[in-house]
Order: sequence, then structure tokens, then C-alpha cells
Amino acid sequence: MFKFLKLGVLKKGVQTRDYPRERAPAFDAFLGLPMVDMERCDRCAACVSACPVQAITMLPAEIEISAERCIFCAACVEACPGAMTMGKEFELASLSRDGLKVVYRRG
Amino acid sequence: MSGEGLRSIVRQLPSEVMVRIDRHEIEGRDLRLVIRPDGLVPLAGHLRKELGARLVTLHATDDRALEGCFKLHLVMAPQGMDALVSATAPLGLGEWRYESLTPTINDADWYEREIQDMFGLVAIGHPDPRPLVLHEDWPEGKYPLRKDFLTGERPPRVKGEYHFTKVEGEGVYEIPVGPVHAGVIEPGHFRFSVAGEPIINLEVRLGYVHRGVEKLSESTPYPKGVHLAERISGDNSVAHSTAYCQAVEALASCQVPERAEHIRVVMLELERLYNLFGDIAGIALDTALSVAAACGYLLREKAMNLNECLTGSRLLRSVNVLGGVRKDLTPNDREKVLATMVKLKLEFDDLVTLMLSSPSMMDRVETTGRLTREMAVDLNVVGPAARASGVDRDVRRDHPYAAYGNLNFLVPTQSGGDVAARMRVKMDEVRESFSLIDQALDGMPAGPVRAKLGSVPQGHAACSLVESPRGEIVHWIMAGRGAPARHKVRDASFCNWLAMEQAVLGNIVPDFPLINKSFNLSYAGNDL
Amino acid sequence: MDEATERLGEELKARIRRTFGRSLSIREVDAGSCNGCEVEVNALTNAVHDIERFGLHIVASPRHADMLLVTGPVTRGMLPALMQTYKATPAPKMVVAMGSCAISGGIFRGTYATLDGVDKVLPVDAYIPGCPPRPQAIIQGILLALDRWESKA
Repeated sequence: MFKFLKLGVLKKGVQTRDYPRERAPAFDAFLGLPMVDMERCDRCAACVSACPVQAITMLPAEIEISAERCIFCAACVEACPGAMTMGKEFELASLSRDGLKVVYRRG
Repeated sequence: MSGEGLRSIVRQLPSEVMVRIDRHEIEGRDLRLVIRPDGLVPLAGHLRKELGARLVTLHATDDRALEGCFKLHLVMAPQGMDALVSATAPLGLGEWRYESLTPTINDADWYEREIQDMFGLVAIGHPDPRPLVLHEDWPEGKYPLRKDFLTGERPPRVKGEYHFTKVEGEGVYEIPVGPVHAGVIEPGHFRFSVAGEPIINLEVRLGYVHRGVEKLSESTPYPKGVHLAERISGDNSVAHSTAYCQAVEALASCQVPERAEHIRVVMLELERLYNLFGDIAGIALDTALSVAAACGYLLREKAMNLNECLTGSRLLRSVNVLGGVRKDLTPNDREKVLATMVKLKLEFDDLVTLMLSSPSMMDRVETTGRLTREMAVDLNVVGPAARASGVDRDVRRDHPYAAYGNLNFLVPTQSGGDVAARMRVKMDEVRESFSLIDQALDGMPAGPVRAKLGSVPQGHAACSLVESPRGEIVHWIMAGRGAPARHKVRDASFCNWLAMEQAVLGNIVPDFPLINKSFNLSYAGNDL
Repeated sequence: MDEATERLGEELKARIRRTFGRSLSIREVDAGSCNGCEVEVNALTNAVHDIERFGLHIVASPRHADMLLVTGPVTRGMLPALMQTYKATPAPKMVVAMGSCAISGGIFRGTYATLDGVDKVLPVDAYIPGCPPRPQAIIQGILLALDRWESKA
């Protein structure tokens, strides 16, 4: 009846991770919010047309990426591997919708 | 081989079907027929009776702009052949009625109700013409998949009433459950009719998660459609995106590199693993075997962690792109997968021993929720649920795709048809998945991981089958200008919900969550 | 567990107690998601993430809940059920929109059957982006919502 005691299921030790105390860093491959390297961006808008959810907006002097809409699919990085990268940040929660917008400016 | 088989199918068609066929062609594994609408019923009846064919999909298209009519599309797969028989039946000008197939082949039931909701085409003689996907507050005369209905149109709500099947008699009472459930699961409504404890009727009412995927897909260019397909049923992302990619690749005659096909197999099996771990843990949880449940969910967490490490997404999203896969598997990734698999295998064996040697658990699962073989065949049940009822059917073996043709695996079956049988099938499938991942990694050739897609010619249609963790899923795409002109998705759950209505009969209400968990059907995939 | 973790846990418990007088109960409502978010909410209760260590419970009924965790773009079919669930939740209550669909409609934005996000129909206290957000991100979002609650109260 107590066969399962022999199976090692009780020998696993503590499995719980102490997030948020213990950081849970994202893997290299992690798909977070896209980031723009403005030095390398030539404003061709390839990312804007590749995005399936219109999360990227090309403003006159800046580029706005909206975490409200982003589905973290990496389509923009596929379209523009030069200037776009997927961020590693995952703690993106915000109390307002404005807090979900990230704006990139040159310089 | 299959070309000859298909020719003999054509030769053996009865004369009443033959005279109604306008054109037929054989291409690869497909037999395509253009048939008059009154030929559909005898054709389906013949294929079912003589060839044991199962219904793959039945849907409509709106071709009024070009040809002035709606068309019905019937796809069936004859038993034991890697072949599909597709019949297209253009309805007459202005015609909106056709003869129902349901009295001849039962499994056409929900398909015809769906066509009625989405296109306003009525199946004459259908035993249950109530709406299926759209609810009673949807106005009459609005049919979302017709071309004159705009994607963004939001018709006002109207007053309407939905009639559930009434069971009457002394001591019979109803228990309504849902759409918001006690557990963290998707929404759906269950109406039980109960006499004492045993369930004497269950009616499942879905459609709460209908998001308009098929309509949306018609305005989504192919490359973006992959991301939409991933979100049809959240935990079957790879299966759905693979099915979508394969259909578009077939339309564009694009040959996917072998390495990419192997990576797809690895990803499909990783997806199967984390789903099956969750299913097995869920069964343990619902039988109150908490230790096993915790171990099972731990396995699932480890599998999902591996997913995140490999692809950046715990649910394996953004794996597929048209023409291949997004990201190559590096030697480092390979080591990581192999090392994790060794650990998971050991822990999984412990979990299985723990569950199967627990009398309290086996007592709950044995003889509970029995689905007979006849019922499974009749309702065209797919996936682990079918295999647990003795229906030996697996798309990976019967219609090989990706690299499955080169790999060796068993298709586990059971004959019991109860929760225990479904649990055992899932346990055996986990082991096969481990072996498939090993084989796919071993046999992975070097080379590129994606090919250029090329152009997708308009007007053609392709049908792609994939075995998801829940069973066979179908994506049928008719090419339009840069996006599908019609994209029909059929999730495994669409076939299996009716089976669950049957499997719970005679069981007590407290066993319902357990039976539901053993099927583990998708609501989102069903409602689209 | 080391001392620091215990201290953090205590701080958090104290904060929850201050706000609600007890632990925080969460009711998850699927308003049309693809099931991806449900998978991650379920993962919150497994041994690795175990949100019970903060005194956060996922409860079976909105009548027991302090917080509604809403996923999905709010489909036409789920709107009445979502409103009923919100009404059934006793005040004070908060609403957290989880996942891109719940925030803006995500990939389903603009279809005939969806309503483009939870804040079109309910007041939302916090947003957790992600498709779906990983469990750590959900924990962070819930803790952030608690902050807001304190500043309001």
C-alpha cells in the first residue's frame, strides 16, 4: 500500500522557486517585448507591416511599441533582424494602458 | 500505389453516384470529384459502407461572386489508405437548401449545424436544426462566413430562446453547469438531466468562445495566419500551426527541408508530452490522488520550462514559419533536450507506478465513462479517446506528414473505452513520444531549416491533417489573393464532444469531472 | 527556505492582511481566450510556482473572490456571463486583465464576435501583457494590483 514511499516521490526535496525573491531570468531564446536599436533603424517600416497585430507605430521622430497589442511572436525580428531584437524582460504588468507603451527615440 | 487504389474507388462507385459526377481527377493522394448536390448523400453512404471511410470535414464556401452559388465540400478518408476523397458540390443558383447527410452518416451532425449558422444553408431532413455556434441573441439573416458580411460588423443582440432537450419523468431534475466553471477551464454550458445520482442525459452547449477565427483568417495574409493558427487552441499551437503551414506549403508546392521536418516532429512531440502530463495529472487530481497530481504537474512544468529554453515560449509559439521553422536546434539545444528527457522518463515511470498501484484510484477510473467501440466508430471519434475504445487510428501513421514517415513508433490502443483505458493510452503515448523525440534528434540531417515559399496560386484548395495531442485536426484552405479565400479548421474536439455526451450516460454526477478530464477537450478549438 | 524569503513572504502576507483582512481570493474568468492563459494560471498552483505561499487562492466561485483575473478578448457569447460574474463578486473587488487578448483584443481584435478587451466593459485595475504571460509575470501583475488597492484604500 505504501509502495509509493519507495518510489522517490517524497525525495524530491523543495521544488518551489522563491520568485520574486529569487529572480527567474529569461532564457536567451525568450520572446519578450521587441526592442528597437535606433542607431541601426532606417525607418523602412518592415516591422510595421510584418506585425500581425499592429503593435508597432512609426511616429514622425520615434517608434512606439505597444505591449497592449503585442503577441510576442517575433514576426518583426524576422522582418528586420538588424534593428529589432526580442527583449528578455517579462515583468511588464502595468496599472494603466499608457504604461504599456514603449517609445524609442533616436539619440 | 494509392493512385491505383483511388482509381479502383472510382470504378466501384455505384451508378447513382457515377451519373451525378461531372468531373474527377486524381492527384497524388487526393481524389477530387465535382458532383451534383443530390449525389452527396449516396456518395457518402457508399464510402462509409463499402470503404469504412470516415468524415474528415464537411463545410461550405461562398462562391457567389464568381460562380453565383454556394458550394459544399465533403472530404472523407477511406480506411487503411493514405488517401482523401474530396467532393465539391455546387448548389444551384440562389439555392440555399441541400439534402442532409446526417441520417446517412451520423458524424455530419455538427458540421451541418455549423454550416447553417455560418452560411445560412439549410440541411433538409436534419434531425436537430438548432443553432450550434452562434447563440440565440444573434439576429436572423446575418451569416458571418458569407462574403457580404464584413469582419468588423457587430450586429445588435436580439431576444431569442434556446431550447434544451427536455427529459421528463418522476424524479428527473436538471443541473445546469457553466459557462463559468469552478475550475480554471474554458467556458461551456452543460445541462444534466439526472434521476437520483445517475446522469440520464447530458447536453453540451458550446459557442461561448467563438471568436470568428475562420472569418478573420480570410483577411489575414499567409505569413500572419501562422500566428493566428497558433492561437486557435492555445495548448495545441504547434499542431495547428503545422497544419496551417502544411496546407499553404502544399498550395505553393513548396518542399520543406528535411531538417525542418525533423524539428517539427520534435516540437510536435514536446507539445504532446506537456499536454499528456497535464492530462494524466488532471486524472490523478480528480480522483483525489494529490501526490500523483503534484508529481504530474511538476513533470508538465519541467517540460514547459524546456519549451521556453528551446523556443522562447512555454507554449511553443512562433516555432513554425511558412516553408520551415523559425529557429534551428543547436547542438546545445539537442543536449538539453536529451538530458531533460532522461530525467522526465525516470520521474514519469515513478508516476505511472504510483498511479497504477493505487487501489483507490483504479477503483474510480475503471468502468467509469465507458465509450463503446461502435459508438466511437459511429461518431468518428479521434485521438486518444478513439484509441482507448479500440479504434486503431493515428494520423501520424495513417497519413504520414513531416518526418513521421521515417520514424518507428507504436500506436497504443486499449479496448476498455473507460477512463482507465484513456489514461493507459495516454501513458503509453508518452513513452512513444520520448522515443520519437530521440529518433528525430538522431536522424536529423544537416542543412537549412526553411525554404522559400514562392507564390500561392489562387483558386486551389489543400487539406492538411495533423495529429494533435487531442487527435486529428484538419486545416482546409482555399487560396485567395495573398490570404485564404476560405479557411476551414476542424479541431479534434469538434468530433469528440458528442462522444462525451454518450460516455457519461449512466454515470453518477460526481464522476463527470473525471470523465471530462479524461477526454480533455478544447472549447476554443471547437468554437473557433 | 532562507530567512530573506521568509521575510518577504511575511511582508506580503501582512500587506494582504492590511488590505483584505485575510488572504486574497482570485477567481479566473475565461472570456474567450484560446486556453493558453488557462494553462499558465493552472501552472501558478503547481509545486514550482505555488502561489498559495503568498496567501493567494484560486477559488471556485466569484462569490468567494476579491479579484477577477480575466483572460480573452471578451467574446459576444461570454459578455453576459462575464457581467454576471462581476456582479456576483462582492465589493471591494478588482479586475486584472491578463494576456494581450484581454487588454486589447490581441490577434482577435476587430472581429464580429469579440469586444476588443476587458476594459471596454469593466473597470480594470491592472494589465498583464503576454501571450500568454509566464507564471512569474502573472505573480508580478497580481502583486502590482495589490499595490494599487492599498493606495486607493
